[in-house]
Amino acid sequence: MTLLHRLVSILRWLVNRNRAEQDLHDEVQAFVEMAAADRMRDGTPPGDARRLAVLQIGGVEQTKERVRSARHGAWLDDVWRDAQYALRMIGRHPTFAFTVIVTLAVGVAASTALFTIVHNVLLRPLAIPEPDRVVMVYNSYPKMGVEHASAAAADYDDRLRGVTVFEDQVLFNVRNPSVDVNGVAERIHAMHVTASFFRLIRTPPAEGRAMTDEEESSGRNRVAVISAGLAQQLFGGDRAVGRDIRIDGERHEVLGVMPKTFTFIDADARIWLPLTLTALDRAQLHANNWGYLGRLKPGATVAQAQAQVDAVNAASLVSHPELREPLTSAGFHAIAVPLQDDLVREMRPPLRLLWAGALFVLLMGCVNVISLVVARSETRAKEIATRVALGAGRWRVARQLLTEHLILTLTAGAAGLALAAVALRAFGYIRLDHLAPGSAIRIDGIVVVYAFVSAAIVGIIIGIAPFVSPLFGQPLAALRDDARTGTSRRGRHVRRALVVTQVAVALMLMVGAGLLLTSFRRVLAVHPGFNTDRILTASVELPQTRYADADALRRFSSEALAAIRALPGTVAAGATTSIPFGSDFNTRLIMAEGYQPRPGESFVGPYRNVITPGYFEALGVPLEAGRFFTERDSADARRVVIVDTRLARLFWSGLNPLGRRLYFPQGKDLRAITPDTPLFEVVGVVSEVKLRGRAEGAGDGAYYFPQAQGPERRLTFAVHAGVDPVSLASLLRAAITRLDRDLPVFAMQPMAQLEEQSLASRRTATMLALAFGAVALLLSALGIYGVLAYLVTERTKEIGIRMALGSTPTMIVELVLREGLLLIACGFAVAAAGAPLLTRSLQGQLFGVAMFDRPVLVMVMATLVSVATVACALPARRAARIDPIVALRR
Amino acid sequence: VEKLDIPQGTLDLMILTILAREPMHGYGISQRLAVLSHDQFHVNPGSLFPSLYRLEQDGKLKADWRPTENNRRAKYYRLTASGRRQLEQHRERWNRVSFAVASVLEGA
Repeated sequence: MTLLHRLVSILRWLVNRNRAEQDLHDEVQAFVEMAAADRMRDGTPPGDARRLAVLQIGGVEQTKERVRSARHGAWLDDVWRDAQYALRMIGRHPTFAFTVIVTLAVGVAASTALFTIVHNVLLRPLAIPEPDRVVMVYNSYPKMGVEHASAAAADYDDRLRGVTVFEDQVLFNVRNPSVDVNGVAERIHAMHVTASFFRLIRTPPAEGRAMTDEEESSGRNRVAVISAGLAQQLFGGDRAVGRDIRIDGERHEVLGVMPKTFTFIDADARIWLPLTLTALDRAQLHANNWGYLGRLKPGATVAQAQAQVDAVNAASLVSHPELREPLTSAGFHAIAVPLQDDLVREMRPPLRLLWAGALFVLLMGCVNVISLVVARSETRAKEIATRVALGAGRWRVARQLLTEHLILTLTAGAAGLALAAVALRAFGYIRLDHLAPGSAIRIDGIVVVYAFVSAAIVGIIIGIAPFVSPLFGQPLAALRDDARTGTSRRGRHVRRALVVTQVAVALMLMVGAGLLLTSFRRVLAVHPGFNTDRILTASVELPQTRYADADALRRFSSEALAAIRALPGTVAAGATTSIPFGSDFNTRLIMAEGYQPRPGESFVGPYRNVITPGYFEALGVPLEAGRFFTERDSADARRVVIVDTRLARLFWSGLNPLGRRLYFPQGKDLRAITPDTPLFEVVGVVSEVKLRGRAEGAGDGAYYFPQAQGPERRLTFAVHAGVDPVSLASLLRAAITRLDRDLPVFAMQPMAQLEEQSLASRRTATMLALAFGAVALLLSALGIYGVLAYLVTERTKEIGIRMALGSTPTMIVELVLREGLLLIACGFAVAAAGAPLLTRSLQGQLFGVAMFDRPVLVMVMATLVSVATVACALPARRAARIDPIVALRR
Repeated sequence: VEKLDIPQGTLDLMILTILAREPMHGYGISQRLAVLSHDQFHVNPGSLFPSLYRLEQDGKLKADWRPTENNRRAKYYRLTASGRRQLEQHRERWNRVSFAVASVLEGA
């Protein structure tokens, strides 16, 4: 009852504030009047009576204030009044407010944008139960330049027996079969998985059931689990379980439908099919075609899994002694990593680096605002002293200031959040999503909380800073009992230390950005070995069902090419299994007849490509010797191969490669050639093509087979157009549809776009680093300016005396500049000490540039020094203009 | 003679007691308190009004503006039913406390 009364009265009072205030005023006045009237009756003159009455009650305003603060809900009142007062004060100093809000908004925006990415990419757990127990296992051949190869099916059987810390083990791969979606052939991401997959993810289908182990076998594997989205698309609202879908022309029964929100590893996957292993798959060691997952038993560790996998591999080496030598020289070992870490393996270092950079930007903004606030609280000292004298408690004034700063910083937080959203969208255009494959970057509740909490923390720091006076001089001396003027020496040192830190951080951020930018430019300058202009690419995958044999494949590729070449605007056209800057690459060990491997030399693992005639011509890959493939390199012609210059140099350094022969080693002895071993004669040498992107390091080279002599199902066409390649797209699609109505054409895009994607994450990281570097530069310049301006104010008297004693304005300017340059020099020294930190974070991000690239260092330092000098110049000029007479009179 | 401080927590009790007789304004309460305490207790409005406001907010008192006998306007406070109950409880407790304290003092 009492509580309700209180609430009602607080509410009523909040609503009727003016009324309530008037009431209070009238009541206290009435009290005074009555007291005065009583005194007058005793004979006191009216004027004195009133004065004495007021004195007796201890002041009208003080009484009202005591009532206000005793009232329930008084704090609400205080907050309200503080906020109103704060808004008035802010309104009175709009420049100050604007500066604070902009400075902090930039910081909050940077850190929020990066947090959004970090949160979505690194922190959001996989959407399955106990994701931290899921481990990815790789085969690694570091001395061959392959750190993370997937696993072989042969590993699966061995590990099922030998690795006991896994309760479930899964083999999977991702394919793009053609699916009949309401009469149209569509290319859809599908995961082929062992039935154990559904046990491992601990997520059963929402409808129907998962596949069983028996359904892995080849007679029974025409079954599928599909995503909720696909079920909706195929069957509308109808029940999907038990219905048929056509995948690569084959009927598959839908066993189950996954929950709507389910996504795992491949965010695009919409079908899960049973993985059927052939006897050959199971026999081939190191045919690394499958992803390998394990779920740890409760309590088991990744290290235990690693140890058991190692033991299995060691045992395998004992039973296959012929592999010992090559595997050892390749540095073969297995790598077990938590899946969660693995998915973000490549993104983690640059993201952490950028996030740290963003936090530094926020911190620097914070430091500058503190300087501003401190400087301003000096001018406000009088106002504050007045309020204290009028009866405001010290805590009350502190709270008032805190309210002001919270309003400013929360506004900055809101502005920062909006800015972050805009920035994320802008970066979205340059394909930010590539930073985070498979996870959408979006601003959710947690991000909003992050923005406002960080803004509030900054507000509290800024609000409190002036009170921890020793740190910042004694700006609020009026609030202290031992009020004495003068600045503490320690305060000055702390301010300088902050600026030195700012300069150091700015230097490090700018050097980092400079190195990334230089790397990016070096990457752009790399010639990829082919022409990227006016090339249209498009992929098909020919299903087993309609293209059963090599003849069918051969027929399709030559007919398709003929149709494409007939299109208006086509200059040249060809097809390949591995389009440069794409994602399908194969490496396979190959040997040259008579080649004697040097002792300790590892496997030779060049890229294996299968191409059609016209491919090199379409991409403009230069021919170095011999000839390109032609239609005469047909199925029944002599087996031929084209190598690139790197592979040629590797096998036949200094010799003519033409007419020499390559072969795939069959048995234990790499050099053994039996009469059955196919030999491929080198007919041409082309220059190197950077398949995986411009930044690709020197590998083992590449070799190319003609499609006709070993046709592949998955082909990417490359068309050199005389016109804008995009205008060719619909014609190309139509041409292929005419050949096969059910064959989807996918990944159709200009080469320029592929190239852009291959550069996207590097470009984004570079642009973010540049943005942070620029903001850091600006903020440190503001910081230097703040400290020097403060210094000049503080030392006005001293400067006046110096000038009175004969110092010239030039000498005074020097005095101030010296101070500023000293700060910068100290900042550089601190940055040098922090260099290892920078080195660590940039590891692996640089290309073609040394960690301490002299031009970058010089450039960055020159920029910083010149901007900082401008920041010094303004206070210096002010100092030089000090009139000694005015200064001394202060 | 030195005035006494009003013991902690008893101001509310005294206010309720005074108002139990008849509705009264703040000044009247302070005067009545002085008279009833034989001039020992003088409460100033800085203490009186906060107590009145809290009691009102808690629903123990109700207030309205009325003219005084001298034709001024003043805010008159009166007890509510809940205020009356509180007065009884507090008085009863106070009696026990003062009896207990007196017993201790006499027994010592």
